[in-house]
Amino acid sequence: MASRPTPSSLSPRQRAALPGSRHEALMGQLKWLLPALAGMLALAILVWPLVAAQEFSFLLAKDQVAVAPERLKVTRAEYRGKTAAGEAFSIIAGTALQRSSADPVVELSRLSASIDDREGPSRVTAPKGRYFIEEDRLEVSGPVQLRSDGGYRIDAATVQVDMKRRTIRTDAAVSGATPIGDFRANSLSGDLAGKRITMVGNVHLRIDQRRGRGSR
Amino acid sequence: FDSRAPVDIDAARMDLSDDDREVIFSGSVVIRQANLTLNADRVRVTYAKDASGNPQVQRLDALGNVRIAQDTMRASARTGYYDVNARLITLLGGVKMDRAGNQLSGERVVWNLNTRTSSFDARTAANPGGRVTGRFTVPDKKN
Repeated sequence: MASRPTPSSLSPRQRAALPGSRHEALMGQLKWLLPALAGMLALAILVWPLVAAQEFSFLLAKDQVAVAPERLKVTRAEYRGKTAAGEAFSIIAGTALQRSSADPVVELSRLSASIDDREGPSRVTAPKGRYFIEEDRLEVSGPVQLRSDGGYRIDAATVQVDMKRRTIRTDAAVSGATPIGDFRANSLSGDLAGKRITMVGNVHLRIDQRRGRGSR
Repeated sequence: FDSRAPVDIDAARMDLSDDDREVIFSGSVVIRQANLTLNADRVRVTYAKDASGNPQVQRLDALGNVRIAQDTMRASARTGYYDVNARLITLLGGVKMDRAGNQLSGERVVWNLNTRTSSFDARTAANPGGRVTGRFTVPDKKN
């Protein structure tokens, strides 16, 4: 190899270019340092999202999320409406439940529907019932108490109450009291105030002229 | 006869109109009050309400196959009309009455529920000369 000129006789640039110089050492280090850094960075990018503790993250699974089954649940509900004659009626219930917006039926419990009109108040109370919103029809079940000033009591399994026309109808066996006495029949229809009643099917009426109308 | 005794009515159908104070029963109607039983095809009951609102039956109009019975008395007619307050039952149209074997017939009979007496009349507009006929059975005397 040609004789090696002594470092002192070279210009700083030439000296810097000599093998083993400071620049050379720096480059040597960088030769492995930079790829290593790049590698670590790549690794960090991959690993870091999995490793780091996420404060809040969730995956919304439509079926696991708690969905309220019914569309509307009200406690101590009150529904106000108008009858055909424009008289206001209201239905008060312990709980009112509408399963879904598709079916316009509200299931009521411990309900009492009342209408005040010129013939006085009429009130239907029952442990359970269903209110058909579109038809303004109340289907009451369980021992139905139907009170009106006419002293009109119905003990029936289920009674259909048409709020709009203020009429009631029951197709199952029914008993109770009318303004004139205790009765029993297969079916009954009449107006809420008890002024006009029709009963069909082995009707039995007991007119008690002394102890008063309809008292047991 | 206690005309304020409870009245029990059985029928196939009943139509009550409290405003008109009237109840119409139809379909083999059976009405019982004390010892009186009345059967008819249709019966219209009119009532009033006393001060405290108790129904007081005023009148029963029985139409079609009317039959009444009280103790030993049986009677049948086309129509009948029971005036509750006066305790009188008026039977009209082909009346036949049987009291313990004695048969009577006429066109119009007024039966008094209290005194158990009846007054017969056979004259009608159509048949002014109508006669009352009767057949009495006299129990033979043991001498």
